[in-house]
Amino acid sequence: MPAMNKLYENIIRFFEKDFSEKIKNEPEFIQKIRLENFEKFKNKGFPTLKDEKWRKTNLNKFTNQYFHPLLHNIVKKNSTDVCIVPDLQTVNIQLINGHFAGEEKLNVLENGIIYGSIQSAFEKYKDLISRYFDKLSKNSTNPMDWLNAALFTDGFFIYVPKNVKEINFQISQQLDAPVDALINSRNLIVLENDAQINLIQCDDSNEHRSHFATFNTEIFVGENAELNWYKYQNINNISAMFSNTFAEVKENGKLYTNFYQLNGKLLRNEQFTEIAGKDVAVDHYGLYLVDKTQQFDNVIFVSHASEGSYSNQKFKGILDDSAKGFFNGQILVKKDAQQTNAYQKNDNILLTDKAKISSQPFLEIYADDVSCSHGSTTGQIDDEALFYIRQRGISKRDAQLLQLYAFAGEVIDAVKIPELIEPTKDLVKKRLNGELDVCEDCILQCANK
Amino acid sequence: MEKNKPLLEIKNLHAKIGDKEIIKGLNLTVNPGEVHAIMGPNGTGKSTLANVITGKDGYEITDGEILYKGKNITDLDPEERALEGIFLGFQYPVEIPGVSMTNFMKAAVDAQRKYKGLDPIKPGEFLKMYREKQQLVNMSDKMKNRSVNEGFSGGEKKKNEIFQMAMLEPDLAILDETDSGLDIDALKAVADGVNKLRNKDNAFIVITHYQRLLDHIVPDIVHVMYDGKIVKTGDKNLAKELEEKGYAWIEEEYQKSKNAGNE
Ligand SMILES: Nc1ncnc2c1ncn2[C@@H]1O[C@H](COP(=O)(O)OP(=O)(O)O)[C@@H](O)[C@H]1O
Ligand SMILES: [Mg+2]
Repeated sequence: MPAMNKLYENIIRFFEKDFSEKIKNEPEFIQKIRLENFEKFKNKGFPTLKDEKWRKTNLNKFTNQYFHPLLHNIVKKNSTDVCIVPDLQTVNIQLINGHFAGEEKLNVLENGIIYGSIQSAFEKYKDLISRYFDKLSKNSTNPMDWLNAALFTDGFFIYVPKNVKEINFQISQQLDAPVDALINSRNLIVLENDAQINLIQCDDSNEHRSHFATFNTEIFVGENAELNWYKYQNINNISAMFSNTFAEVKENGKLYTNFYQLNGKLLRNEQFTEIAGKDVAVDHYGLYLVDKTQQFDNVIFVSHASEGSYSNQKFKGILDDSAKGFFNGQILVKKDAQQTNAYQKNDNILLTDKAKISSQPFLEIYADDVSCSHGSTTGQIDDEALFYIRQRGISKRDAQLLQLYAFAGEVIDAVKIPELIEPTKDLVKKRLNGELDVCEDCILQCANK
Repeated sequence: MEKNKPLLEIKNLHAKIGDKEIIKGLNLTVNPGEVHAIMGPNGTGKSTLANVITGKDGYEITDGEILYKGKNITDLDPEERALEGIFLGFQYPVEIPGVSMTNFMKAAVDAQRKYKGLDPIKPGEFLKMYREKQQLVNMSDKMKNRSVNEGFSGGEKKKNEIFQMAMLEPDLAILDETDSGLDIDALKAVADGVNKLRNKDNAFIVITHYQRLLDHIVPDIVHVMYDGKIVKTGDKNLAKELEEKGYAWIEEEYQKSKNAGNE
């Protein structure tokens, strides 16, 4: 029996009454995916505290609330209004409430890159999409993924042909509903062999509306291809955002993510990465800066199915006030994945007695010739260091900031795009200083001001 | 500053950590231009005294006062005392991972400038000053990008304290066993640094076990601290006497006088 609550009942009614009509024109394979996932969600309902990976994440505050399902993009925005990293040539994508917001729903660049609305791509690039869509997420046991697959309305699609390299995308994802809204959005990124792109993404929101949003992304990194993804999340303190990513990386491919959870009532990022070829390199970096009654979660799973690969998970968190954090990181090394190097580290600083972190590192190894490590630390600000710094005339507040900023350094120093280093530093400093407000456009842009 | 006015005046100071009284009625007057040495066996309360003067948390002053430039400073935060010109060279310098030496010093210099109503120092000017002061203590330029004290050898840590003192130019510098663990070259570099910074307006309190530092930094006044008090004061020859005879006779004398007092 699923747990009954307002949001669940509302979703079931909405899907059965209104939504199933709307999707009649979609390709059959999409409809099938939606229906299957809807059934699963209907049977299970939202995750509860009894589910292993949700023991610390209470959804009641949101599931007892009414959210209006947004079927269309209600808000129109100027499409140049996207995040701006000065001096960086980029292709700009804007999503408002999960809907691709560009004038042209599908775009083909000279180099063969295709990008645009995934809904539009279903029709025009049906064969291409059907080869990838839901291939990685289909076995998910997470109800949030079922909800997303059943109810997504739009999202972005990026296709990078063989050999196309060094393209930067800026993705501005805005929650800007005029009412409290349920938003489900779905993205697909395909990199053919030898392709290489960078994604710079901001997740932002308006100030006054509560959003309940799921954003799922599937990523296919071809042989010798490379994807670098930077994400800055700064939504209001009455919204929840669930960003789940499924990635597959083929031989010699590289996947790198560097995510900043800055603001939001509840931010939860789940990452599932499958290493499906030899000599792959995977890096997942994350920094979560949590205060007030916010909660930020990270659930990371890296599976080594093939030999000679490297993976590294590094997540750092600073928790203030009554904030909560949840880290669940897993490394799986399958039987054939010999010569694997896999690392995982989660470090936390708690600034108050009320702040809480639950950190669960897991290691599951079935190969014998591997080098793996994992660990987790939770500490406070070092009082001896604090006194040492203050003895040099630096105020207590600045002494703390200096230490916290240094703590965050390992994640910030991993930023590889030179133009992004200063904006990232600024953002983190501003956040630690308590100066980072809701930004209606893009937090990178607001921080520059 | 008025002439002849003491820089530091400690009167009948009593201080506790938890329930344990460590400083037990200590008197000390330091005038501008003077170098004082405080010697004494381990566990006597020398570092505690330094911590109490600089305002470290965790100590309770139960009696007495600490006047600095004529004002009682016991209610000031550590950073306020530092900005007023009190510097502590730590017996055990603390490692601060991820904070580079230059960032740390820039923050300290700018805090001081802000206190004086000045704008932050210009990067070029800062680097010039940084280089000059490094040379003063013979510190390698490589250190400046490293995290504060992280991976520094014992000697490097101590030199780093003197370097920071040179950057901040305090009026009162307390050097807590800056000589221990130093080889003779490092010792000379440290002493050199101090001697170059010495002038008629500032003062030093050099806490040490050994005469050998005092061969290089010649003190005006030598105190012996024992059981939370200053039990003997003399000139530089007292240090020589201690070197020759050890502390046992001080302890004996102290116990005798204590017993005599009790009778
Ligand atoms: N944090 C502390 N808690 C309890 N006792 C302490 C603490 N720090 C120092 N002490 C005690 O205070 C006494 C003086 O220590 P300290 O000032 O370090 O002496 P010194 O520097 O002369 O060697 C010693 O008995 C020491 O054990
Ligand atoms: Mg000591």
